[in-house]
Amino acid sequence: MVKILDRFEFPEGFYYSADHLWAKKEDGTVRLGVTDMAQQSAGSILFVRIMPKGRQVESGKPLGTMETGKWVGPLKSPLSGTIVETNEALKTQPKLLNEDPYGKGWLIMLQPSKLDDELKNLMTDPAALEKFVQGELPRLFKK
Amino acid sequence: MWRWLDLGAIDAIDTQTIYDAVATARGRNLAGDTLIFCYPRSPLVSLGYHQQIEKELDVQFCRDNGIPFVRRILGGGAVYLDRGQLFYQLIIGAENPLLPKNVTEAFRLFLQAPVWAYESLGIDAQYRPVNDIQVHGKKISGNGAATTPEDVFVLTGNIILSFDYEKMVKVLKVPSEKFRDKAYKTLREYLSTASAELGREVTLDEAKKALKNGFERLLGEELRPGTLNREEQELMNELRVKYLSDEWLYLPELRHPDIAGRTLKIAEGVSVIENVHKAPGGLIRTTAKIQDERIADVLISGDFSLFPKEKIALIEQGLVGCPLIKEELLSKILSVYADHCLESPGIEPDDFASAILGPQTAPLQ
Repeated sequence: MVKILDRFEFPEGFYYSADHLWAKKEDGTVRLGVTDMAQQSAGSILFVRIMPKGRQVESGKPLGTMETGKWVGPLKSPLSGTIVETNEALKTQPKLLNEDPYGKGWLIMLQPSKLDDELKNLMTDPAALEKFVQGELPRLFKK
Repeated sequence: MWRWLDLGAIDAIDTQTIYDAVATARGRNLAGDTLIFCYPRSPLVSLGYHQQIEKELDVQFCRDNGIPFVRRILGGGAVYLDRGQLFYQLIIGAENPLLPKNVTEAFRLFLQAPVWAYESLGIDAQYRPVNDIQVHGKKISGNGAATTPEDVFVLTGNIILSFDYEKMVKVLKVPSEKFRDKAYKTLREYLSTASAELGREVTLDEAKKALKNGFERLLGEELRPGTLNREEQELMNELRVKYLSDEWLYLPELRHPDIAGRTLKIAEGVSVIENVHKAPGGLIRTTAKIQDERIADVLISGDFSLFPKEKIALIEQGLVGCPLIKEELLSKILSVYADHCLESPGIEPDDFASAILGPQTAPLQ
């Protein structure tokens, strides 16, 4: 477990995008979700909408949306591929995304189409993450 | 340099497609940062992006009364909109240094303009986080926002000149007439208008002038009227078809089994909540007005038996002011039971507390 600034968890073995989503390889597919830093910045999440199973997504394009405090924002996929499973629990318990962003708050399982190429664009190195978090901090948590 | 679209009265549905069209054009670099002022020629209902239509709206009432309804791209709840409200719609690209990335900060910054507008009309309005403007504890402006996939930030809100409270609660689907009545009274109590505050009719022209001055002060430039470009007009035509389609109105991914209970947010910190709780001795229905996490008042009904039955009012009164914490609710209810020797076969004091708190307190699976 990597903790940055004692506040934001970035577990090891996960890949992180600049759009604040994570990816984790699991038996040929990839599980995706939202980072702890993003959920802390967003605050209480009221709704999550996810594209249905079978839908193709592209990296950097939305795989769904979330709503918090009367704001709706896109959840941008860190990887391209086909959605093979969605987290149905988020429909009735969107707060799982706040309470357990790397566990029960996962978003989708993806059958990736360009995994090796696209993983290179994601962050895993603690030093790179630290730098990224420091850059995002003033924008996400202050003016 | 901002473009200002001062459109006056426009078609009801266009009031919702226009900011989507401009934001899309902005994302494709076909338009610059834009501020729109407009109001609907005739009433409409605008549903929050993530809302499930048949749970929120009395669709039949809307159809019978010729009130169109659309899903907007912004968050929040269903609202009844008419020409008693002047809308401001701000569309700003992520690269504009004025835009804070934190949503609360964005609301705080941009709602300065309508706050100044109200002040110049002589109303002591204040920003109330996250997205309300209030006057003496009453909401006087509702606001919503979204970030598009192209990172364009959209914020819309209204200067409320007058408000049709009755229509607002009639277009909503409610679990009971008690709920509707409580929603109406709570709206009356917690939602104000410029005309009500000033004790005279405030005109759209006055409001527009005040709002223009407010935004000019905020943006630091004089607003000069611009026009929609051809691409934006084409996008609006496309969006109109989309907004009226069943696929958009009844988004399939949003459908899920009913969650018991109904919550209607009236203003920041004020909600009306109805819950139903099943106990061995019968159903308990509670309709409560909640203010800042405390019970402002509550009605308890159902098919259970309480002896003496008129004492239910004492339980209701005993709960006023009580925070929404199970132990505190239970302690109040228990003391009413003890003081008045109440009996309720198959219903424990705990059941009343569970009814009020509703399913949201259930532990996560």
